[in-house]
Amino acid sequence: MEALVAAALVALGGLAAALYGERRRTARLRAQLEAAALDLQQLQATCARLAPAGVVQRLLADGPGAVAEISAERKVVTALFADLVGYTAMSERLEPATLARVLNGYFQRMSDAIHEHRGHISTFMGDGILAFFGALQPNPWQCDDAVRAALAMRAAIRGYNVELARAGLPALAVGIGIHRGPGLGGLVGSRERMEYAFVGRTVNVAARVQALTRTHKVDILVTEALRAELDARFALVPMPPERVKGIAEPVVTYAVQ
Amino acid sequence: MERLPDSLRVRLLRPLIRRLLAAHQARGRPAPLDRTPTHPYGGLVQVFAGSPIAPALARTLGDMWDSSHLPRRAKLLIFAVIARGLGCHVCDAEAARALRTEGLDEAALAQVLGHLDARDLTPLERALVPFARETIWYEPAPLQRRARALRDALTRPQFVETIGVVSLANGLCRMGAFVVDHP
Repeated sequence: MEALVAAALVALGGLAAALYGERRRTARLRAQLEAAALDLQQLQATCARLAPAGVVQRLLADGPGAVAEISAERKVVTALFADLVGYTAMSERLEPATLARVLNGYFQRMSDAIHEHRGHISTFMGDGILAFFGALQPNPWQCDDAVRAALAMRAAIRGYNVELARAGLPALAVGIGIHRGPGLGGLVGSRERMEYAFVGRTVNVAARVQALTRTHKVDILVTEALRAELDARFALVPMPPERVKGIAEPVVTYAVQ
Repeated sequence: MERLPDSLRVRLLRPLIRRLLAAHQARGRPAPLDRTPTHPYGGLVQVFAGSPIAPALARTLGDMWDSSHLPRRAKLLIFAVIARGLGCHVCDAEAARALRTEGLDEAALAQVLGHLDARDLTPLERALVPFARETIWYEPAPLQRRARALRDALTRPQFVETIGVVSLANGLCRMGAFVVDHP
């Protein structure tokens, strides 16, 4: 009888030890899993600075195979091109560190205005910003969103200029061109380096229209194609048609009040 | 919450949970629709006729339309905006048809679905329409920010009903886009 009790105690002890070991192993694996999840979150946050968050999530979820899927999608989007007026002169006057601080403040405010209105920034080009509306997800209200974003950018620049004046720095002015049209959106580039981009005439037109803001001495210009889809309650002023490089017909634009 | 299934208490309850789930599965037999739903989006319920989903969906939809915290037109506008955003043509057309019977003329309908606002809308509808659009592509941070702003503009029952209606509309219009638009 005593031997039986002893055997049972040994068996129980063995079982307890096995359970304890199992619990420790589970706790260790859980800690590893949590650390991996945290790493993944950090990786996503870092990558989201380089590409739209939706694209990053899809790449992480579907793996490299998703590249081919994301790489070619024909769609109609609204392109917004913004550029600082008088940037070259300002960059020559300011210290590099001050210039970087001013530019970062500018980019942050413009990004916030664009994201708030469901746009995504495709790229920063020097002092220029190229943003798209309706590129990542279908957006039937993309034209209104883009113009609201431009108005928010105008307001943000005004607010930022007050801060700059307080710091004894020169005021910024921005020119914004907006156009709507078809193109090819997705991951483009080489095997070594890819980026999410939208290619096509639409982007060129938005850039040319942005350049016209200097000619017409206004800050926000939209094309006829965009105006046709825009809420009629936006106040627009027609500008004289202008010839621009790379486009055969004179471009009709409207200034947004 | 994620660890709950592995907790000792839940593991001890597993046999009971298994029995409950099995009983639930037993109820999930094909169930005929008692009657053809006549309310908006009843056609979508009809698509699932014969499946246990159909009567549950019909009941949920019926209760949603009958609930009085939000006006029927406001709920239809939520459905219409979500259908437009998701590109569900059948749902879009159904909402538009129902909105016309609610007294929204063609021009106002085009304006509200094209630009998410119109002069003919009531202040409540003007708050709900842009919010409905925010729920289409789930982006937690902006959605929560806008939901908080909406909560301040509505009564508690209205807000709770809004969340229910947008959830149902998102589910239904997605099903519609998948099942009806692409059978």
